[in-house]
Amino acid sequence: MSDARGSEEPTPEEREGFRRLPRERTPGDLLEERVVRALRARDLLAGRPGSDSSRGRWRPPSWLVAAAAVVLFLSGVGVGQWMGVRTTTGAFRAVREQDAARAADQVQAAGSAYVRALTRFAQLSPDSRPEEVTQGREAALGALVAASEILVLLEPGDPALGALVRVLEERRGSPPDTTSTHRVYWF
Amino acid sequence: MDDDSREAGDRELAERVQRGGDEEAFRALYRRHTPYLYQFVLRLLDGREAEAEDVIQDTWLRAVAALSGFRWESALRTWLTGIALNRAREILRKRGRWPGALPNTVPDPGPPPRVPDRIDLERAISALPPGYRAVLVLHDVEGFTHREISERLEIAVGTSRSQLHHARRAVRQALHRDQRGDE
Repeated sequence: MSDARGSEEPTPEEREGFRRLPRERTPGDLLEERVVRALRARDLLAGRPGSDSSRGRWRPPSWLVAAAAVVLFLSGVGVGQWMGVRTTTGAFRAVREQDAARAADQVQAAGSAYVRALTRFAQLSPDSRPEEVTQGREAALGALVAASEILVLLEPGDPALGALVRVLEERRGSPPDTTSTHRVYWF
Repeated sequence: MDDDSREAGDRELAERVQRGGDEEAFRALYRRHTPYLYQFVLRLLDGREAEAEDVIQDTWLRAVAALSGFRWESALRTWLTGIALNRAREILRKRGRWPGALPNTVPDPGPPPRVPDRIDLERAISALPPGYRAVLVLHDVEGFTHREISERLEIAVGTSRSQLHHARRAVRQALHRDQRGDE
């Protein structure tokens, strides 16, 4: 299919180099769910038979709500501070201004970014100064706590989420705050 | 799976998606083609995963919305690749990096003496300005002709040839540096 000019043709070694390059890479599983949800939100997919998410009111499974909320807050609070990324305020503004489906897309995108950032952090940690590692770990944990508390507000009757908040608060060394309904986080 | 049976399978799945919004059929299509599209887009966007994921999502949204207009005169993957390429270009334009420029005065160091290491080659490709990188990826990695590239990138055939020439030269320079460093 190629038709390069003769004098510019790659050498056999160069061709072999190009041939060896990978042609496929699988993105994270979250992306497939994100795409499917975006298609559903636009009425381009009907959803699985029996799913209540097919048309109209969309109700994600609780694990997805949990994952989405966790990654949103983690991306803003934890890694945002640690990696010097300070776009969370804008992201929140955008989330408020858009409909729920788009907001959920953003949550999932932020989650993917968060997981990548944490992976990078984990890779760099062995070669980093201990205080930097501690700071990053604390930031990530603080964000987890914040996210889990918001999750409880979303699903107040979910015992698993309640247990999650308690475990995380204990891990942080402070008692869980079960009375407040609002908490302000600064980025 | 050979090309014919894959195309027949693609068509059946696409019709199920188009007719009834069949999620299972869509997921099957997604899993068939996304790994290829993702690697392709990731290479065009110099490894930026978040942007590559956005491109993949937009590609599928646009493709599913436009399925009824797809005439099957080309393979589904070719069509999807074109959509993804356009979306990646939009992102690069927003970044203000399309097409980018290479100095014309770079001397050609000649081909590298041995098969380039995969990582070195990826690094050399990712260091190219986006427009040159796209031409090199489409021609030397994906096997497109200059005419096909000119149509997809909306550039003259001569521009495609010229950019490929400069891109190869820049890649060779980078590979020479890497191979010298290994010795």
